[in-house]
Amino acid sequence: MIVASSPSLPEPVGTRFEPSSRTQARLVQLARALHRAARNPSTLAGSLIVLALVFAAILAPLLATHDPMAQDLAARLTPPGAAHWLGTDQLGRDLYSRLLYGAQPTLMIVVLVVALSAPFGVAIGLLAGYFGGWVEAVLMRVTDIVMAFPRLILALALVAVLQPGLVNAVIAIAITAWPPYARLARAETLSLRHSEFVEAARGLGMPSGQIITGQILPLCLSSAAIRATLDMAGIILTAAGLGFLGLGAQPPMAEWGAMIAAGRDHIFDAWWVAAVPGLAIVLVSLGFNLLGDGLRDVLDPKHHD
Amino acid sequence: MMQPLLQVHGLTVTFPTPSGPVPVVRDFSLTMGREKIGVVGESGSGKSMTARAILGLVRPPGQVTARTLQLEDMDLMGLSPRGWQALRGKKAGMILQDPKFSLNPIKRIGNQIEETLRLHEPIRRGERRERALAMLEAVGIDDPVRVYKSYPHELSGGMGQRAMIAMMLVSSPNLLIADEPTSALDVVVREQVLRLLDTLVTDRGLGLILISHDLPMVARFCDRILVMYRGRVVETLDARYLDAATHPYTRGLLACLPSPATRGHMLPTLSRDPSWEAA
Amino acid sequence: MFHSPLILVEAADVFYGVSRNRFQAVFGANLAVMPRETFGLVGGSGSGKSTLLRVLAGLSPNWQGRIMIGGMNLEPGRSPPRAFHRRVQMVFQDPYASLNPRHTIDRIIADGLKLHGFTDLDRRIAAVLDQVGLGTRFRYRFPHELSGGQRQRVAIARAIALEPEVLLLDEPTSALDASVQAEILNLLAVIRQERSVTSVFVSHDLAVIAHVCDRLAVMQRGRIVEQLSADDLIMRKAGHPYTRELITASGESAAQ
Repeated sequence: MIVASSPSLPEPVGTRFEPSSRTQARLVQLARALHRAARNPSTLAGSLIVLALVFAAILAPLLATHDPMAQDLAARLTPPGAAHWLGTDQLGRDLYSRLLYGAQPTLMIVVLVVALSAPFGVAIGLLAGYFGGWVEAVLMRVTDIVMAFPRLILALALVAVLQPGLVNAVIAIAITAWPPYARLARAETLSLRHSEFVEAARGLGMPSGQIITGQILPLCLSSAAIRATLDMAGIILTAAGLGFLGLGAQPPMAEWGAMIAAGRDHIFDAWWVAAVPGLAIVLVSLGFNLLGDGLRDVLDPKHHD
Repeated sequence: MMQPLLQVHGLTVTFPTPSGPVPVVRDFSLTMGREKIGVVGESGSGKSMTARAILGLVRPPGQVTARTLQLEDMDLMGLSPRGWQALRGKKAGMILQDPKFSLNPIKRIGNQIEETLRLHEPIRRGERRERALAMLEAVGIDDPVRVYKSYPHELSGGMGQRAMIAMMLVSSPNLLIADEPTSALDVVVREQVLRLLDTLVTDRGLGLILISHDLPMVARFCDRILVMYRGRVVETLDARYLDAATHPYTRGLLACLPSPATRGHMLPTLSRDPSWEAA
Repeated sequence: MFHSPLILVEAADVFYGVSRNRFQAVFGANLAVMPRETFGLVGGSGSGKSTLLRVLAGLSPNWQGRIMIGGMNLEPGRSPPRAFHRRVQMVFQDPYASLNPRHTIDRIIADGLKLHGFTDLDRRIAAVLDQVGLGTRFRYRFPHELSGGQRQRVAIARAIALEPEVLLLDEPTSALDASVQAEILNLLAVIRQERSVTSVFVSHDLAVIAHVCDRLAVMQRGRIVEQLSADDLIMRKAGHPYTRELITASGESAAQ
């Protein structure tokens, strides 16, 4: 019966930095966001893991102790030790080095999928939410149809048609990944479409395109960014799934999903072959999830000030 | 001497902020009988937080302290959450600004009123229904049976607020706190609801704390007025003699209201004196 | 001296929604507002006063009848040309909702100026902020860093920056504290003195209307039930029972 409302606290008094130009105002905003991010433990932990992934991918040639493709059948299935820090696989390849190189396709898939699916989905949602009527009906029905397919199954079917490979895996995952962005952006746009500041922009004579990009889009971006970060964990899992089924990156390329598949035959006598890439996937997924949760706290204007 | 209905001494509510705890209500004191008290102030004056604190509705991280907080013979300081729940509805009720948000949208009005009864009195179902219907009639609803069966969204704002009042009064509390009960209502309806509250409170001999930003409106309905500024009561007035207000803040609030007399003139504005906060 | 009205509304019906869900909000409204006049629209919630104002602002094409503003005819069913918006500007009720939370004050004012091809933006923005009493130190702040009254000043600055002939005010002070309301009403009075602007002021508060307006129309359930001068209102010469009810409800503050 009783509705909680936050208390109206007295405004903080005292001297504050007054920006005197557009650039300065933006920098102040950025600095405050970074400050909030740094104080949030889950953002911090998440970004450290994600940064580690990025470094591993970029610096793999420097950090690797062996050639990831070099087979050494004499040393096959060596347990973790001094010569091979994380052991070797069934062809005697160094798992530590393969893990580092495996970060490359993982990162690439994540970045490409988000870069393809998020802008597309957000655009669909903005158009549907702003114009309503039959535009909304058509766009959202298409979104529902795509969403009705289980993600991995749809990706599997697409890859099967397009032929297995890394690029095709990216395309397949991207095609299955955009609907949530469309729904999110549509929901936000619906709530903003009749807000007074959008009315005010229309009252200035602002054309629809400019209202969508200048007034509404900036307010949808943070939730899309949060969604994208949380989504990355799922993308990694889907990519690994495709790799595991032999439909993603092709051998001998090091890819975490394919590495697990290779380790499956030796799971009882050489657990590390499957466990090492498996743990990497878990850790990186966790990292993206933590970062996404943290971003929600940092970016969502309802959660601060 | 009769025991006062409510005694509050030194009530303070603070909220922690990154730069230390900030008091939202400072040293609020009030001793009231079965009378109508108005608490007036602008946004941020702490008037709503005061009401919440009296009914134990301040949520963490908010901190409530007081030297005395006593309803009739019951000490409210250190009351358990269960104790507060038993108190609210039974001995004290609260009416909030917008019935749209304070009524449960998925329950019929009748059930909501009966729920209050069921929580506090062990009576039969038939009797509960009769009491609820009688209460709806008492708050000036012409067709109590229809409203009893309605969902909140099927009622107008004024009707919803009447239902809310019925729900709060059905278990016969002695103290009623109304926080801006009419500011979401239409001007004409506002007057009707206020008059209803006035009648109910007078007839049943309740104590009423009416919280509002509207000083003239409060003055028409209450006996005494407490004017709050930045968490502090700066002046206590007899509602009949608003003109006798001496504090510059109260005088400023009264002067800045537009009226036919101010036509064609600039309105006096309030220049806030930092010393008002310290007083 | 004879003037022709600057705002003329004849037999205007206003609707919400389409086809089966269509709901008529205003029935056959007739209004004539003279140049430089301040005209009040009073009524309770659901009386159609804000709906009618949105039509005058060119924000709602769902109407029929005849509306002429400053020699331009508004066309039913169509959004007005951009030039219309330079001449007719609106200030909204809720200063917390009418400013985009992600834009600086600078951008909020600059957007309109750019759209209408104004040059010399820097000087104009500084001047208009100065006129609404905010000064340039607020220029690069964001709305959430301002109080309610300051935000409403920004909304007023956004409107008057375009130097409109008509200013439409939708309960511009009802979300504000009494002391802040006084400041905003004073600001609006100064703007009316300094600029040749005609305004329509929507409010449910007869005291505010009596303070601000020259003439007013009283609306009830979508119909204009009475039009009278503010003097008549003050002298209690209201004819319609609803107007008298409103006067009673506003207590003694609306009439003497």
